[in-house]
Amino acid sequence: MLVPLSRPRGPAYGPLLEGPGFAVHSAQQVIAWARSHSLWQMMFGLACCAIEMMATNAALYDLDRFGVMPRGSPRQSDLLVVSGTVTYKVATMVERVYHQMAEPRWVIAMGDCATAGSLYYHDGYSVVKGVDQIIPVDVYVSGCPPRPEALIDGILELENIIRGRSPGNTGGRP
Amino acid sequence: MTPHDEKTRQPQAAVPPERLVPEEDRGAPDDVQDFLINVGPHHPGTHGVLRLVVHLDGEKVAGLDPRIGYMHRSLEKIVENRTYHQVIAFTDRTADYLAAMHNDWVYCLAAEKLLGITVPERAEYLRVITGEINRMTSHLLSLGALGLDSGATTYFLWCFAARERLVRLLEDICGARLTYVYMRLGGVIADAPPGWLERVDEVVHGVIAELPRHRALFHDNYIWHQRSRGISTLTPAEALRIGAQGPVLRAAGVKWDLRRDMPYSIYDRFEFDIPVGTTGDVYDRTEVRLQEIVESAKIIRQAVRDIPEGPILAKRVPRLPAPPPGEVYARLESPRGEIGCYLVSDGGIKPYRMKWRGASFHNVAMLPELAVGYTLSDLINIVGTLDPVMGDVDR
Amino acid sequence: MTTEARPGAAPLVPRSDFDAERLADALAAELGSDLLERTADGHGVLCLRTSLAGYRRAAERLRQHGADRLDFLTFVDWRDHFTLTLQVYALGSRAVVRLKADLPRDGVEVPTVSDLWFGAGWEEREAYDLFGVRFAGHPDLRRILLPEAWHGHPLRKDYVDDVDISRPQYF
Repeated sequence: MLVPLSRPRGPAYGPLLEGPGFAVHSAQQVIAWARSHSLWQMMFGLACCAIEMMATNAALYDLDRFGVMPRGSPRQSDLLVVSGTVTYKVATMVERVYHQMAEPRWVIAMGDCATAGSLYYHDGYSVVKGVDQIIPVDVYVSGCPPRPEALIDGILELENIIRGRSPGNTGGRP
Repeated sequence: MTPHDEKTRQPQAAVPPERLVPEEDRGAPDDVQDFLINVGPHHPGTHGVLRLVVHLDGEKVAGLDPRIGYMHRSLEKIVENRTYHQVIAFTDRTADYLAAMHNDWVYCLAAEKLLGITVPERAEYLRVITGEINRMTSHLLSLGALGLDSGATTYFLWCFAARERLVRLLEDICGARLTYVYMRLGGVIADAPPGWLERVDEVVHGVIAELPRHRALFHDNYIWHQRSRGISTLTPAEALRIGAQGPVLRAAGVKWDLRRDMPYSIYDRFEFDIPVGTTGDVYDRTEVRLQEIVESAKIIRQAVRDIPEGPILAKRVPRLPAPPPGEVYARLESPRGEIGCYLVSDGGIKPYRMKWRGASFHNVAMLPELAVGYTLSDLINIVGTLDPVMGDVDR
Repeated sequence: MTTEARPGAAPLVPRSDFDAERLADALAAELGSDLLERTADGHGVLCLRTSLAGYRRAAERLRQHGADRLDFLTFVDWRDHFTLTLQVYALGSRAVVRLKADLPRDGVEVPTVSDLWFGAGWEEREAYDLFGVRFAGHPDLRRILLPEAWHGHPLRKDYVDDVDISRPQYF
């Protein structure tokens, strides 16, 4: 990991990091680290979860802190938050938006509807029972709708996945 | 005014005449081909999954075909297979999710009529208080999203900051931020926690005190006036002909609010104004919404002052209600207009048929009447001021 | 922007002398045997049941006499027949009328009322989409909520969801 060299890092690295120097790291992990901190999110609200997604992006929760910025175009986005119920009619659009995004791309299924159909599992003739039937999903966030804190937790979990860390390891962050 | 004087705007060297398109090949303006453009369903300006097939003539909208159904979640089929108590969870998510309190309320009104349940006084007051707080959150979100569409990102953030404080109030009384399931058959599920009623008045009026700041930022802004005045005007007769609902109808000058004109619950006990506009344009619609927030705060203050002690849930509400065969209709003024619930019972433990009447459904239906003749950039603001919630349109 | 009535302007809510009972009397005289039943539902709504032949004429009379707001238009599937339900009210006098007509489940077209109430256009499209009853004279009768290629009409009581994964598959 590239670190600012003037920063004291403990006894083991102390002598190494004094003065000008260099650090060696795998390029893959450096790129993953960079990617995980600039997840641009596709602005695509489906249902009630979209309101909580907006609240997470707006004041008070401020997803910008984690480098997540809403973008209007799938070409500029890395992250698709499927925020709400996916019906058969909109499934084509979700799939198309996913394929329009440039790789690498990640998907968060936000809420119980996107995860498994939720309340509409039985008798919901027009509802796709989980968005993972049409596109691959990286992180599932449960809740109906999930609180903004839950969505933030899901995004931190996604950062772990991108950086190849074990689930639940937030690198010392709360 | 302009930093360029006439001299710098002149081309440095004259364009050779052979490079120019000959006059006869340029084509008259009438030869410009009309074209179709697709807006949505994942367009940020359509407030959900609304799809508009727009027929453009230059920049002007010449024809419009709203395509809905992308959020059709089979509400009416599902409730035919659920008991009367279970339906509440579906009405507040599936229909208009920004005004979940009002959806539960109208369903409860209908089912209580069918079952003959009388709601206790305190529960009625709690319903009014939570319902009006929910109306304020809904209007704030609508105005904020409209600001976002028209480039006022700061206004969006301010509206959400104010809304967040009101959502906290609702969360304190029922535990949920968006889908409340607070109103039940025969009353409400939880009494106000200690100190909540005092806090309601304080928070609500804190939000009201901020509104002049909002007005100075957005509503009195020169740019917003230029973009909204005279756009999509609506006369009262025209609004009645195409069946406008809620704030859109009132902005056109028709003083019609079910809370005053066909009072339900205990709304006949409160004093409040019904804001109306004069021209029905985009500006008036936002103005009506902004003033309705103030009126809601008036109602909340009176309700908090008058709320009696007592039970919050009617006694003897059966666990598995089986109303006698019959049919009822209940209607109510939600933030988006008149919503209604038509319930048919065949004597069983499940509703035989429920028809949900959404206000946004009728508002989106009249979109071609409002938007044709204005530019594509106005269309986004027109959709924003109709404030459609796709859950309410598609159900 | 005012919150008061504008002086000299037209009244903000049009007055109307729409009287549901008087209208029902007039309809009974006009429709004769086509008006089958006249009841009140106990909550201030006048229910009129007409035959399918008299439905369009009754709707026209309601509109002419000032019932200017549409509440809803839908069907109820009673397994052996459908009941068409149309509810309207008058803005001025606040009188509510519910108009009903029975029809067989298949093979019948219902006359449209989309020229009388603007909102009825989409309500009829929705009713066609979910129940499969066609409206004669509707200018634009397409499916509205479901995709065009959808099989069946889901709010019929005999609808079977052929792609329902939630039903048990192997026991």
